[in-house]
Amino acid sequence: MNVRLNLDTETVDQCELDAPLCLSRQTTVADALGQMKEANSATVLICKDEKVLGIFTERDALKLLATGASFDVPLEECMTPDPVILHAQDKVGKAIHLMVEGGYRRLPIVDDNGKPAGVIKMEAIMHYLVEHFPTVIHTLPPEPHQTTESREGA
Amino acid sequence: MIVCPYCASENIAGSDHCVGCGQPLDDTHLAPPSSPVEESLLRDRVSALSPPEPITVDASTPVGEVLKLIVDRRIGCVVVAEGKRPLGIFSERDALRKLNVSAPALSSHPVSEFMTPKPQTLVASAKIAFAVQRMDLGGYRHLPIVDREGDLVGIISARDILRHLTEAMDREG
Repeated sequence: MNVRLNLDTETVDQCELDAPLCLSRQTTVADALGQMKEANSATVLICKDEKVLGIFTERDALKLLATGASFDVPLEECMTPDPVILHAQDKVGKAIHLMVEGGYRRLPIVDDNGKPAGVIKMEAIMHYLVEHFPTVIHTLPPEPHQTTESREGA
Repeated sequence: MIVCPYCASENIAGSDHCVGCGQPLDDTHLAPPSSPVEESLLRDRVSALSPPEPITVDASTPVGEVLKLIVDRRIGCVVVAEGKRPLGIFSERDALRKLNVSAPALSSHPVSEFMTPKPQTLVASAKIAFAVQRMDLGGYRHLPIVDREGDLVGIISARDILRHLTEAMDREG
């Protein structure tokens, strides 16, 4: 199997996507942080009429937590507007290149109508590699560190 | 001494399977890589990623300081260490999950309360494929790299691995 060929032909929607957590511009950061924790989601898409206006990630949250800024502000003041977005039919290779070169850890994915279909994160790419390539990854033992305390035998 | 082709554990001569990871100690049964990308996964070792030295903090460091450090240094995590021994990892994910809106109230608490303890580590001679598998199993974005004594020598990220793969893809043309 040719990895390059696969990454150039397989589309991002074949990876395991996270369900998009879509909130409005007026949602407060405090509310968003609570919902991110509850949904176990590192990404909020700020949407209006099913279109993506901005993105607010774990990283943006961290900056606010570190500076002790108020959480009682609307998301639109802290989001990154007009984020880089992938189309569901974009190739896995494109997602990898964007993550490496653009420094993104997660990218929103939209369908033909521009409606959010999910978020692809770096962990999903790693999982895709394990699922698809090469046999060696598959044949590795399922449990990390199957270590014996001491060598057996005389 | 036989060095495991997967995880680089040292095994006594004559062993069939690695004591570290349970894999067979020869990799001759593997299909030959069909492309430079496969080859880079199968053959290259973590050392090829040139793991940088991790930023470390003591277990008693207030978590508020650690948050500032992660933002200022533009990193995704710090390794909590005692001397050179890794005790845990504190990542931005830990910040969101465990501190969240309580961050200001908890900022003086020691980072050890919120870190993910006993991190998965690898030696620099482990295969990149092994690192990919470990990251996927644990859902980690970072793996501390240690020497044979377990002392911290570096750290690698999922992005480092993806970068390595894209370089192999570019070589493939």
